[in-house]
Amino acid sequence: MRGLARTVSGWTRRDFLVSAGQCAACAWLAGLAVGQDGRDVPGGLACGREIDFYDRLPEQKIQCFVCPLHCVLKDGETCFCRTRTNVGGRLLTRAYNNPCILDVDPIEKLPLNHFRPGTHTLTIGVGGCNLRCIYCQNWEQSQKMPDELKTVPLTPDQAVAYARRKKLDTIAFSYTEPVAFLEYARDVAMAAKKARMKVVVATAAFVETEALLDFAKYVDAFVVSLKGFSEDFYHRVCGVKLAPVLTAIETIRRRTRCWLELLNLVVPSYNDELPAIEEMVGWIHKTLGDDVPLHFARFTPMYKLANLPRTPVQTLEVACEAARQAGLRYVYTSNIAPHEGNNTFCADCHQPVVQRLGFKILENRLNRGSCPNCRRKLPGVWG
Amino acid sequence: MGRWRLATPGGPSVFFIIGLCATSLSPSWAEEERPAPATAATHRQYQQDAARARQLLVDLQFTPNQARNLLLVLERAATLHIQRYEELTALLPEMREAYTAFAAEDRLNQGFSREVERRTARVHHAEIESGERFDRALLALEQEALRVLTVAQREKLRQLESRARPRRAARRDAAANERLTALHAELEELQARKHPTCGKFGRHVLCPAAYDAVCSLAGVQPSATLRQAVDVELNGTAQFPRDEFEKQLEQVRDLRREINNWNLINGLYLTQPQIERIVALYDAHAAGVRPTAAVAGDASSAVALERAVEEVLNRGQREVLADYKACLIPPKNLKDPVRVGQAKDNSPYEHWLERARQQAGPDLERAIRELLDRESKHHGELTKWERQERANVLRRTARQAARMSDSEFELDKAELAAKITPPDRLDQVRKELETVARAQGRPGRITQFMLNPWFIAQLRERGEQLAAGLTPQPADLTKGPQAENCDRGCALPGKGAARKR
Repeated sequence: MRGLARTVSGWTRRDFLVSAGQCAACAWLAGLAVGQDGRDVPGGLACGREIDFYDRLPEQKIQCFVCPLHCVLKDGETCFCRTRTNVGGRLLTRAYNNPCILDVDPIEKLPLNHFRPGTHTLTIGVGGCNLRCIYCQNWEQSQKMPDELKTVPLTPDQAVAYARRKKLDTIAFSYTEPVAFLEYARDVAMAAKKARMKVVVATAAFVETEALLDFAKYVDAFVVSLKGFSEDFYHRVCGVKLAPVLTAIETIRRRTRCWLELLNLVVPSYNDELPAIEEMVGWIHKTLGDDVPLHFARFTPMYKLANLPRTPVQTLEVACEAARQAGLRYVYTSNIAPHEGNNTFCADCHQPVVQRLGFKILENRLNRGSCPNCRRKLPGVWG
Repeated sequence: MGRWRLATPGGPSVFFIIGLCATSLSPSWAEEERPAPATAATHRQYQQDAARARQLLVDLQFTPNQARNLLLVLERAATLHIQRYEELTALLPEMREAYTAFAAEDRLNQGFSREVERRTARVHHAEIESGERFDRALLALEQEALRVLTVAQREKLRQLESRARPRRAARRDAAANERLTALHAELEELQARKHPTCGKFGRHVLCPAAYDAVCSLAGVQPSATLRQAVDVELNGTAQFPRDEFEKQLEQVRDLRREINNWNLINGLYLTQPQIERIVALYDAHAAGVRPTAAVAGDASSAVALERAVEEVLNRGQREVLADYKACLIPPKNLKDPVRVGQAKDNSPYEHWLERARQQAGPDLERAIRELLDRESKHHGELTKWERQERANVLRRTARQAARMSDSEFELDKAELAAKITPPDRLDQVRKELETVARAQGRPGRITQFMLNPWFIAQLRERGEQLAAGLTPQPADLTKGPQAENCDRGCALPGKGAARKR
């Protein structure tokens, strides 16, 4: 005790201040370094890169502008998407380099039927989502923060290297909502583009136009899940609004060069009424044109809607027929196989040109994207 | 050893003749004492079984001494048969209820409720386990019973069994097609390995219908247990009479067939025009109309119909049919196929690797042992050498997985799992047999699964369901579960445990 007291008492004020300064400098440098692209930042949060779209407000508050929710956050609070946290007046993402799902999938699983059929993707998913769909099939990942899940560290460069090693030339973001990990997805996409790889994204498109356009620069194809066609449905079932989704879809179609396909999960008694479906397909035809493929997917009881039955197959067939009547040329059924609706038919001669069994290609008769029978060029990316 | 000494090494012919006379002249219990069979069908079956048993004893030249030595085994076999009846009677009403509910949901083709599916699976597995227990015990008794036989008799038995083996198809083409015969033999061997059951001797001599003949040959009166077993065989028990048992068994069989048919109909996603065409082809065939020559060629009537139906199916449907297995609970690829955007659909072997890569030493060895035990249950017992080989593969792969980083493992786990998944040789042989049979112009899976009156009746019903169409009732979105939303601000607290509103 006496020795310790002598040591402490032996320190001058100058020694103490120099040591304290050195410690502070070290801590700041470490925090800065990890804060750029690491997984730990001061405060014990597993966060990483600072995000691009936010405003600083008085009293260390922050307003996020990635998605139309425009969350206002006090210090320490996290956005509705569970991934972006206000750390001392800076908005950092917990999702960076922190995926919870990493898999090799057929591109048809996204689902993309007109984008390089038969190829595979390195698919990445990160915990969190800015929607609260009560039937989410991946709710165990989407309704948790990234650091509440078992994750695998993966930098953008590593993602590209892994894809290369597996001889894949497409990287996909799916399973959960890429808008929730937009900064990470954007950097991976950027690295992929540098390596001349393709990037495809499955999203609910509840995102601000500026953030979307910034991301779309590095994306080749989008699958947008249009969950229903009424504000009431979006509000009560998904927890968000429909209008921004429609704006985003229109933006992708009109202001980017990305390939676009749409997905609609038909939930029995929730969004399977024919008038609503007719209204939706009418909007698609009028706003996006007749060449945008539309997938009607079968619902399987999940999450908070586990008590509902599966969608009857006839309902999907009726929806497909309504879409064709509205003038859409490429309409598919998903989550049921084998079904005629899995196949791609030529819009002119109505011959099957790509035959599928679920995600498996049984036969691809397309000749550089053209029907072998009538030589009509089918819309899509076939090379 | 005592039993072996009692058997006459010189030849059983004298005893056999005496025994045969005894069998034919003096039944072990008087006709009026024997319990009257409950139903004509039961009686017929009993008579057939008894005749087969007598014939086998004659063929083997079974001696009275051997018959006497067999009595103790028969006692245990009788107890086993009584137990099996009691187990089945306990299960039957539950099976009937569970299967009825399951068939009703299957008919609607909108998935199964958890409760109904669990109950069906539970009762179905209980029945399978009871059957396997019975087969195993009877097999052990047969091994014991076979010790009574002389070497010559066993050789004779082997000859009789191999004579009974060749199937109609193999017999027809045995000379022309050795491959078919070899495949049949392999299939039988694999099936016997997967579900070992007793042979001809156990089947015919240890069943209650044989007790009369064996006791007659032994010159003794049947014991109370043997009588009880025969009584149960003919009349059932007081709690569960035989006619009721037969009736419920038939109902359960019908329900199983109905469920299997629904599973296939649901899995094929036949459209209404396809259903109409298949039904029309079947009806025309029943009325004696042959499909067009372009489709039928010079094939037989059944094959012509099969080819015509095959034309109606699309390529995906043909693929599903080629892999279809008639299971009560539909396999995962039919019941719950992988959906678009669905995460983490790992195979059981991926799950096993995920756990095994974090284990080492005794823990890993235990995991390997448990996996091998599970596999033995599904694919049949492995020999000691095979088990060791397989354990080495599993150990090597688990260690390889352990050396990988988490990201590498996530990416490679499907390939690693494929490496350790045992090949389903039974399925391969079955498919090869079908290919050979098809090349020889025999009917295939379409005839087997689809072209029968029960399937067609259900197909008609599905066609009517489709024709009736749907009138969906919209949900009241103000009731039932609601999504969280941002109406009152959307910030979440720092560590993410509780929401701050």
